[in-house]
Amino acid sequence: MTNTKTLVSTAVSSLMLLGIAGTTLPANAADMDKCYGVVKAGKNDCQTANSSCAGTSTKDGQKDAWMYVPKGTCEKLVGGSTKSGA
Amino acid sequence: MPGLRELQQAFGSSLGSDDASEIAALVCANGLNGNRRIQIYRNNLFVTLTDTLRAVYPVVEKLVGDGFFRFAAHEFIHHYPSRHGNLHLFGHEFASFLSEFAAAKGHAYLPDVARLEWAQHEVYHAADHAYLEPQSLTAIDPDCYESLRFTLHPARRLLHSAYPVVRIWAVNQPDFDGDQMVDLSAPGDCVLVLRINGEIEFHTVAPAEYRFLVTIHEGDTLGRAVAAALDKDRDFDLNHFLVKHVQNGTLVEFDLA
Repeated sequence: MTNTKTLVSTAVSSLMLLGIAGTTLPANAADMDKCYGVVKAGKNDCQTANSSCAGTSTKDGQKDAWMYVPKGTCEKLVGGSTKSGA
Repeated sequence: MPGLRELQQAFGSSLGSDDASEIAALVCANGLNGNRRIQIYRNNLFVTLTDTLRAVYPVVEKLVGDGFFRFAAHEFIHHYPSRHGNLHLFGHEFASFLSEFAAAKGHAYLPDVARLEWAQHEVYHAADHAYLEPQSLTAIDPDCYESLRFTLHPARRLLHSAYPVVRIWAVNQPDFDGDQMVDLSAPGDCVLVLRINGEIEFHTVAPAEYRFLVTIHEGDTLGRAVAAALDKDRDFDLNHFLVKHVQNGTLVEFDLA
């Protein structure tokens, strides 16, 4: 059984040493196993699409939408179970 | 004539139903009858909220296609109408909606993809926070180190999926240029979502490291977080991970339990 107290003591001490060495920031690149980064575009503009202007599609066209099945890139996900609770 | 509150409530509920006759009777016609004016308003509302969901969940949309996404969005908006003046808060229940959505039952990974995208959305808009200054720990009695409780940076989220959700996300990016095939039987992901210099990053972390961060995030002490991590992996390197997550700005504040 590892001694948690010793582990914690050693770890917090090395943390403080970092501070003394002045190497805290910026993050050490070697430690960062970056996977994917993306700059997310701002989505502040709550503009209304032109297609929704007066007179277009005022009827609810979704009545028989239960017939829809996903038809996107999900076809490229294979193997394993895709069913809930399976 | 109803009071303002009744009027607003009747207007609000007319937006979620097909029958707007009650409220339409109170609308000034002025060239276009009341029913038609309400329909236009409702249509604009659905288009705006659908576009909002599209902006937050582009990978879900790509996975299921435009038609299915619009159908799912429409059902979602009906069941989870916007409750905030701030549009950024709209749509957080989309993942749990998808997990219950009969038409999406054959795609059990979809809710996790939605969770990842919502985490990305939240982290993007979360507050900033100064990094932890390790020197401030000198104020703590070494005998109390196990009782330290750390706080996570506001722009950090932790999530776990039984599916390789980060790869699903990655192969569905507009600039992805490679094999889009994903093997769903591949191991699931423990993900730390971070915002660093305005950029969102997904870091997949080991199960023990994930357990460590989740335990801390739940408000437990450093001692208990280490114990939880060691439970997953007897060789959990606390020294390495404590330094790592202070350096990457994930652990930003502390107090004593």
